Amino acid sequence: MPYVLRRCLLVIPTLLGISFLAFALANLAPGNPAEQLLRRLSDTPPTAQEVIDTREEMGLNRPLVTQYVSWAGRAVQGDLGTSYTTRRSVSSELRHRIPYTLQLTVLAAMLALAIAVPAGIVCALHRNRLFDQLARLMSLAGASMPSFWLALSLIVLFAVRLSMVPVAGRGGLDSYVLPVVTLAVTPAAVLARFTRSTMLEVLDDDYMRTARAKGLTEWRTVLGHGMRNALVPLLTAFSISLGHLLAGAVIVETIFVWPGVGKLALDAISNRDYPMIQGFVLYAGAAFAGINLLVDLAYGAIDPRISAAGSSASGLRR
Amino acid sequence: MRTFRRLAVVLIMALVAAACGGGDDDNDSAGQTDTSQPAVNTNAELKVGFVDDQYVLEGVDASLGAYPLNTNVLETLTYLNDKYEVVPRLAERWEFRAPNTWRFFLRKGVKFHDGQDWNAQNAKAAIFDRVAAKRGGGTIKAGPNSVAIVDEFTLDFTPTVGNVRVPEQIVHPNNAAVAPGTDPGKKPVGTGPFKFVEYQAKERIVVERNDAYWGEKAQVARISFRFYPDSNARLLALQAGDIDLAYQIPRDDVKGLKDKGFTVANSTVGAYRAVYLNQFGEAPFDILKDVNVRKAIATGIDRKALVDGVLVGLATPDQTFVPPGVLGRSASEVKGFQFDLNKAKAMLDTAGWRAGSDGIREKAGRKLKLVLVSGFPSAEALRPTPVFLQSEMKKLGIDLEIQERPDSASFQALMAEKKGDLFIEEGNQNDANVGFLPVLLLYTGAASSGSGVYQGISAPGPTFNSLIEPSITEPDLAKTQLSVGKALNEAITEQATVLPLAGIFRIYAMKSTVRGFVPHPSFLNVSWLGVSVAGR
Amino acid sequence: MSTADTVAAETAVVGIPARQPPHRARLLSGLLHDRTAMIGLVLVSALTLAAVFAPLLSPHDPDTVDVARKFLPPSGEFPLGTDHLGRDVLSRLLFGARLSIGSTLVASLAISVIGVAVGLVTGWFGGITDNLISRVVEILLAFPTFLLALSVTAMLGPGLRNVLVAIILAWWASYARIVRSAVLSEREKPYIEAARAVGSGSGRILRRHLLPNIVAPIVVLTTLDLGAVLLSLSGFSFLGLGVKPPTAEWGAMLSEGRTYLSRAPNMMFFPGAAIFLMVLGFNLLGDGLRDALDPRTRRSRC
Repeated sequence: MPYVLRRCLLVIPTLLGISFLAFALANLAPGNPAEQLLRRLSDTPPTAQEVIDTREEMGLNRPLVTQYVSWAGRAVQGDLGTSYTTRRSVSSELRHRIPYTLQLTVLAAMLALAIAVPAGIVCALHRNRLFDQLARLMSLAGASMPSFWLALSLIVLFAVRLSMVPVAGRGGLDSYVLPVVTLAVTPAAVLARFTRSTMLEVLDDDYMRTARAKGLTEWRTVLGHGMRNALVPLLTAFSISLGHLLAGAVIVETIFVWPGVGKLALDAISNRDYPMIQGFVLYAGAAFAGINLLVDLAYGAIDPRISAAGSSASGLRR
Repeated sequence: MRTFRRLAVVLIMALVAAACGGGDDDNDSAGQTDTSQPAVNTNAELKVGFVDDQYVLEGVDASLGAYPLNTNVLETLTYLNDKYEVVPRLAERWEFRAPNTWRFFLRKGVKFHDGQDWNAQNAKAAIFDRVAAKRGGGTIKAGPNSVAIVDEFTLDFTPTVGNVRVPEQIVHPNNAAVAPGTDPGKKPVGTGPFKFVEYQAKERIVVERNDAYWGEKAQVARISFRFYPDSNARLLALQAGDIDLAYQIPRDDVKGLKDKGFTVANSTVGAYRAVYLNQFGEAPFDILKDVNVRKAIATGIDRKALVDGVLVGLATPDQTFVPPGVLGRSASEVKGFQFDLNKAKAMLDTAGWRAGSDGIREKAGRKLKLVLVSGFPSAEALRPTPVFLQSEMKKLGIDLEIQERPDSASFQALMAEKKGDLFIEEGNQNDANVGFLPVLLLYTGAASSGSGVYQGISAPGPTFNSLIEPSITEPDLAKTQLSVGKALNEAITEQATVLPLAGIFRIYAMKSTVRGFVPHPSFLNVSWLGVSVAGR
Repeated sequence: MSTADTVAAETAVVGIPARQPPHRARLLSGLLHDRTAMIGLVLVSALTLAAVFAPLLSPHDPDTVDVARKFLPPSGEFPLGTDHLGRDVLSRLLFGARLSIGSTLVASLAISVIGVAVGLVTGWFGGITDNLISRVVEILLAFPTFLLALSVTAMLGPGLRNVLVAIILAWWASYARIVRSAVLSEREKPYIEAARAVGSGSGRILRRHLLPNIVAPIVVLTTLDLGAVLLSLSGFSFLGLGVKPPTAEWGAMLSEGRTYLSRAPNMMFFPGAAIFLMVLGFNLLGDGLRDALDPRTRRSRC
């Protein structure tokens, strides 16, 4: 079976597993969903009879398997239920907020790459000189820094004391600055270290020495051979960074009050809004499975050895 | 390697310098005190920072623009002003016709934003039919046949059950007039001084002046309300100039804001922080069955320290949980407890709880351990009061465990199961109905309509019921207040099933250029009519 | 947010390291000569010792509330000032260290033990269990760890214990993966064949031959991940999903400090700095261990 097909088929059990997880989350959790829904509908608490009626309406008395099947069936069609807190449909909330998160994460990813890759290459080329020392120090600090601490400190410095950018909330272009920078720091640090070590490996191997001996300029050799060989591990590290980015997005969106999906998830968890939590888990899992799929397919395209070896490479990163 | 270390030191020093210098802000442009008096700019846009967006957008409870953030797009028949008085709005006057009918005389010359006329026929659809569709007919108890049209501007409303409190209740934005045929969840059309412009969920809602308003026109051209669930973000936005006015500023920041030239306006008491004591719990939540222990706790909490310390003096050490403005003179009926630590300790000793070796009291081998549940409206809103209570209880020899619940639904769920000893909440008085809260939460008599959750733990009993019953059907305000006052005394002083901690007033902060803002004790009833922005 | 993935990716490129366990003396001397690793060790030990001796070092009780003395600036009596309830920030920092560091160590230990156990068993015995568990592992790995832990917390509810369980559940999978790959590649080696030929049972082989060979990289991974676990843990507490009040813990203190950002930035700054230094220490130490154990990667560092 060709690699591409095999890899695509693997997504199905993964998606199934994700859907189990999402379903289980709401139904294994303590609390009575019918009662919770009713409590939010008005100021006066519900009577016992109302709770019983609502349970029946929501289909909560059917066996779990039936509930799962009908939920999954609806989910596939795009109906993820109604949020307990906002009373709006979960899928429309997600649809509305995903773009905002994407804006931050894509910008942060671009920023991180733009900083990390050149920095890593320069470090590798000028190993142990001043730039390298400085960059390694900063990337170590960046990888160790709690993002919430960094975000708050940046707010105090740039938004309050210097009034250069707004404090929170999504507004004009300047409101993107702090959240994107905060989000980009950890991936940039990790990617820089990674690029550096990978480039060093690549620069040292025989092929490179031969190329240099033949008289090709350093830059050409680096960009030509070095980059291509470094591409696979770089892709690996980048997809790992996407994990960092989505995780960091929850915290950054909370601090900067960004109307994205991360904050939505956190609010849903705090409010025990199970339909929303389910929807989010489904979306996040599917998105990640999708990204992993794309990255694996990219591997297959870049490095024929990997597609021959099968799926052993796919488990190494997240 | 040496460079490495030097760079590390520099970086750490830079971080320390950046963070330690926080707090004193000398760059804020809004900090200058306005000595001149610039003219009012009627083309100005006012930017307001509210708490989180809780608008319901679908179904019978759709409340965009109305509840809980009242943008003044919709109006009610009667209005609750900042002195808790019920005054005319879309109804010029009203009268009670026994046994159970309210006749409203509607204001003339009013139009909805879409041009429809305000008259009895439209009022029936705009208010009463809408409310009748809600669960239980809403607080006013409207039914499908409750309204009879008398003439073009007069209608009769007969609630489905006896209800003498309709004018006080109908001030609530959920009972506002929505133009017939419009969707209050997508584009609210009302009669108010502002018209709906746009809404972006969780971000902002924008309204503009209604130049065809029946009353005095608004003084600003537009208001854009921004949502900041995080109080710190709201505060920082105000300081940075992103907004002109902010709801509910953290108390600890009030002084700092005043120093920087901001105006801070407090309302009268409009909410309360109180603890409900569980006297009907099963083990291990059965310690508070003993009324003497409950009274000892009430005597042993230093309310003044709570108000002055934790609440920075921006609250009142009230003995009741209904705002004094609503209770009127009858607030003095509630005796309450004076703080006396030694007396409290003695009371616990008498009740059989003696101090153990670790300072915690015990009785027959059992430790005096209580669980405090916090979560109305949310655990976050109540912090750090529970921790303060914990340290007060420790002085009494009580081990208090705090359990937080993130929202009111889960908080009430725990209360319904009686799984806790003390339940702390911050509740609001959003209408002028004197007995609303005690009847809803504590009354267990025949006319009871609540769900019984609070009664399940804190019902003060038959004496309370008989004291408060008259107020349910009593139209006269003073008599109602007296009846409620006496009943509250029974609940709070005699039975000690409710422990009021503090009366909370609302704190609004704004730039000095914002004028005419009336700080309302109830968020739901803030009026933007007289607000203006100078300069700009 | 696992360094295990990054390192796993690196090792995938350069090959799974070290066949025989390195000589201990060489390891130690290698480590001692690495100055940055030493800085890491100093940081980690200093903070850990501070945590252990918290009751002795703290000038005050961390939980005593006294609202009359709230928001005091740093002074002799309160070296780092007081917070919004008048509690001493330094004492809370020290006691908070116990909880933060302790939980991190416990969680990391559980993660590696579970991950190694599962990896060994599935790699060695193979068969249906291997297939089944590998599918589970793959599904778990489809999520970023933080989000997985978040989802589990959603199910269990907030609380320190639940957060630890969530983190452990979310993290063990990548360890199991790595160990399983290592076992698969070691299985065919001559020395394992020899042991089997001699008649050693599976348990013995796993314990005496396989385990020592994978201990080294696992120790490196665990140490490198300690920082990430601490960041996750504090992150959860910061978001309000971790410890309950009035417990002193670094992430929770940062969250409280956030409310009073303008009024008292010291409440936010010091716990954050503590987390930063600890994570930095773990990272430096982990880097050093990795270099000491695999001289090959040393070249790419310094």
